[in-house]
Amino acid sequence: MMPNASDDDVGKITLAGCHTLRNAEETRGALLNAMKSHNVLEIDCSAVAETDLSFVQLLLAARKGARDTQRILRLAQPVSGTLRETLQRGGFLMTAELAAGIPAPADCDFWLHTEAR
Amino acid sequence: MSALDPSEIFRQEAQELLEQLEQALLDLEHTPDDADLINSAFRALHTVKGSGAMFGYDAVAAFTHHVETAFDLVRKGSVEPSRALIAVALAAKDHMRLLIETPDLAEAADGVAILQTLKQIVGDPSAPTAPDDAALQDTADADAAAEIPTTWRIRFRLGREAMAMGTNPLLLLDELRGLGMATVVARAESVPPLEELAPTDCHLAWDVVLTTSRPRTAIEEVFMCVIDDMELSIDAITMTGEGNRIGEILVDRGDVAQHAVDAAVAAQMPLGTLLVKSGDVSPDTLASALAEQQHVRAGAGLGAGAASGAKAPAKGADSIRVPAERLDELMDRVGELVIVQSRLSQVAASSNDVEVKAIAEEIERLAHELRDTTMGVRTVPIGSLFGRFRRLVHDLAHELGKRIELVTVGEETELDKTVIERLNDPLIHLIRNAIDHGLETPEGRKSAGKPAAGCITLTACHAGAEVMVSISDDGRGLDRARIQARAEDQDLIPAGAKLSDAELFQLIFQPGFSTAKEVTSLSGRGVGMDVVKRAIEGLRGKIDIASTPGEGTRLTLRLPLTLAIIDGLLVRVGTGRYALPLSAVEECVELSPEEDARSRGRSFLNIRGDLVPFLRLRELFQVSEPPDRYQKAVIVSFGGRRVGLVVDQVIGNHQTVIKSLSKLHADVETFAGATILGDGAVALILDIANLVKLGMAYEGRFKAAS
Repeated sequence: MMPNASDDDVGKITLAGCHTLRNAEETRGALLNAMKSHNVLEIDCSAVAETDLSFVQLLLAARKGARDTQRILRLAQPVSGTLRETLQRGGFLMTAELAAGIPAPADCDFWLHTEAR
Repeated sequence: MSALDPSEIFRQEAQELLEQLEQALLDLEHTPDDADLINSAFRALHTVKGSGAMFGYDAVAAFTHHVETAFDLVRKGSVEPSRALIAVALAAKDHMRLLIETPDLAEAADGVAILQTLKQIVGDPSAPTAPDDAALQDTADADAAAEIPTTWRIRFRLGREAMAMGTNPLLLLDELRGLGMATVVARAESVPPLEELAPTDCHLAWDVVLTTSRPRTAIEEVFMCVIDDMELSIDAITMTGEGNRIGEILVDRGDVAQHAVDAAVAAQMPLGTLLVKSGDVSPDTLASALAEQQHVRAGAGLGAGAASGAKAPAKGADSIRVPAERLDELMDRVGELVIVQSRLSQVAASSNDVEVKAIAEEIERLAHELRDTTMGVRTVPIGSLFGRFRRLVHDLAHELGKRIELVTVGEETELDKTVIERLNDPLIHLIRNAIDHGLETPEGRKSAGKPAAGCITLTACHAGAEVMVSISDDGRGLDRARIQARAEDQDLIPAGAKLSDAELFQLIFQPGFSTAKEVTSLSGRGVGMDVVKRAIEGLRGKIDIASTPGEGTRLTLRLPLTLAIIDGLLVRVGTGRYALPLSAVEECVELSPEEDARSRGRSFLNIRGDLVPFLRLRELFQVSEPPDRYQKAVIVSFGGRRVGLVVDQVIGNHQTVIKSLSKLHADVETFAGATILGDGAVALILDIANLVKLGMAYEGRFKAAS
C-alpha cells in the first residue's frame, strides 16, 4: 500500500490483503493519497485476498474522481481471484453477455482490460 | 367495433402456431439434424402451452406440455427426431387442434394413446413425458398452471446506510439467482467521485431480470429484511414477438422518453448507440436494458421464457390483422370510385375545358393506382395454400406406400384471398389424383428407370392479368388410348374421332368419367374432376392439361387476379345493355336473317359443323322493340358446353366492377350482378353458368323430340 513515483509520472499502488467495509476508510485514504501525486495511477489488485462491494465502489469512485479531474486511473492487470468473483456476483462483468455479443457496461473495460470495442 | 374475444385471439394464434409446427415437423422428416426446425417446433409447442393456460384452455396446455417435454429432449439431443416421433407428433398436433377447436369432440382416450406412443418413442422412463396414465388427467391442470415461468424485472437500490448496517448486497443477489435464471446488471452511475465518497455508504443499484416459476412473493421475501429502507420495483415483463425491442424495453423501464426513441429510430442506426450519443441514455443503462433483452430472448429459446413467448421469426412483425369484410368494403368503395371516375372521364372528354380534362386524367391515374393497391391488399401469397398440401402428400404417401416428394415453386405469388380459399378443394382433388393415378408404385417406377421417389411439383406464377397454378407429376402420364376408348363407350365422342391431345384430355372433366381399373379410397369413382372444373370455372379460371406418356402430367389452372373486377363484353338487347364475362366468350358470329329464319323453332346454330343451341335474349327478356336487322350470336362456354346468346348489338370490351344484386333479387338466377357504365346507366351481368344450363335444357328437349 505504498505509492511510489515512476519515470512517466505513472503512479503505482499495490493493494493487497483484506479490503472490505471494515477498512474502507483506510483504503480510501490510500487511494486519494496516490491519486494526488500522479496524473496516471495504476492499481495492482492481484494480491487482494478478501474483498466486498465497498471496495468495488471505492475503485469506481476513484475512477470517476480521476476522470473528473482529467487524470487516468487503471488497473495493472485484469481482475482475478476473489475480486473478480465479487464483481461477477455483483453483476459488474456480464461475461456471459459479452460472449453473446452485446456491449458490456462501460466499466467492463476497466475491470477486464478488454479493448475490443 | 366490438372488443375481440380473447379466446378467439388464442384460437387464431394457435392455428398459426400449429401450422408452423406442422411445417417444421414435415421439414424435419427430410433434415432431422436441423436445429432451427427443432427449435421452431419447440417454440410453437411452448407458446401453445403457455397461451393455452393463459386463456383457460387447460386441457390443451396439459396435453401440449407432454409433447413439449418430448421435444425438449429432442432439442437437447438426447432423443432422435425419428420418423416415428414425427408421425406421433403430427398426430399430437391434430389432437391439439381438436382440443382447441372442438373440445367436445376430442376423445381423452386418443390423447392418452398419443402420449403413450410418445412415451414409448422417447423411451426414457424417468422423463417427465411418462406420466401415470391414470394420473394424467388429474396432474395435467396443476402442472400446466404451476410450471409456466414468468420473467420479472427487479430494480432495486439499497438504503445509503445498508452496507454499514450489515447488509451484504451480494447475498441478496445470490438469493435472487437461486430463484431461477437471473441476469444481474449493477448500476454504478450514482457513485460519487472518491473525494466525496463516504466509503461505507452504498451508492450502487441493480437491475435484475429473473425468469422463475416461483410467485412474486418469493422475490419480495428476498428483500424482507431491508425493504423498509430501499427502492424496489418488481414488474412482470410482457413479451411481444420474439422478444422486446430495445426501445420498448428502455421506455418500459422509464429510462428514456418515447420521443427520444422515435427520433433515434428515424435515424436508422443501432438504436442504443444513438440514444447514448444523444445523451438520453447512459451506457450502463443501455447495457442493462440490452442484458434484459438478451435474457428474455434466451429465455424464450431455452423454454424458460414467459407464457406468451416466441412467435414465428419475423413473420407478421409488421403486419396487422384486418377482418376480410373490411377489405371487401374497401374494394366496394374503390369500385364505386372507379365507376364515378369513368363517368368523369366521359364528361371531361366531351368538354372543352382543358383544366377539367387535366383533373380528370389525374383522378383517373389515382383511381387506377388506388384500385391496384386495394387489390394488392386483398392478396396473400399462395405459399399459405401450398403449405397445407405438404401434410396431405405426407399422409397419402404413407397410406399408398409410395415415396413422394413435394416441390413447390413460386410460393410468393400473390392471389386474391377469396380465390386462394376457393382453390383449396380443387387442388386437393388434383393432387390426390396425381398421386393416386399419376405416380407409379416404387417398383413400377424402378422398372421404368425412374427414381423410386415420385415428384409432385406445385408451381405458381403471374402471367399478365392471370395467375397460373400448375400441378405436375413425373408419373406415367395420361393414357390417351384408354381415355379415347372410354369416351367412345360413354358416347362422348363418335367412334374413331380424331381429337387433339388438349381436346381429348378435356374429356376427363366430364361428369362420371373415370378410366381407373380399380376404385381406391382416394379416387377412381369418376367423381371429382368435373367438380374441379366447375370450381375453377366458378373462379372464372380455366384448366389446361399437358401429358407425355411415361413422363408425367401437368395440369395448369389459369385464374384471374381478382374476382371483383372482370373484363366484360358489353352487348345490347333492345335498349338494355348487358355485360358478359369476356373469359367465357368464345366467339361472336352473325346470325343472318336467312339463317335466323331457317333455325326458327329449332334454335340451333351450325358452328363449323357443330350444332350449338342458342337462346334469344330478346325472348328471354321479353323485349318489345323491333329487333335489329343483323342479329349477332355470342358463343359462350361453361364446363365444356357451348351456347349461343343472340343479341342485337355487340358494343365492345368494358372493364367491369361487379356489384352484387340486392337481397331482394337473390333469386334472380340469370344475372350474376350488376355494373355501372360510364354514362351512369346500370348494366346487368349475365350469369353464364345459368344460361348454359338453360341452353342445355333446350338441347335436351330437342333431342327428346327428334
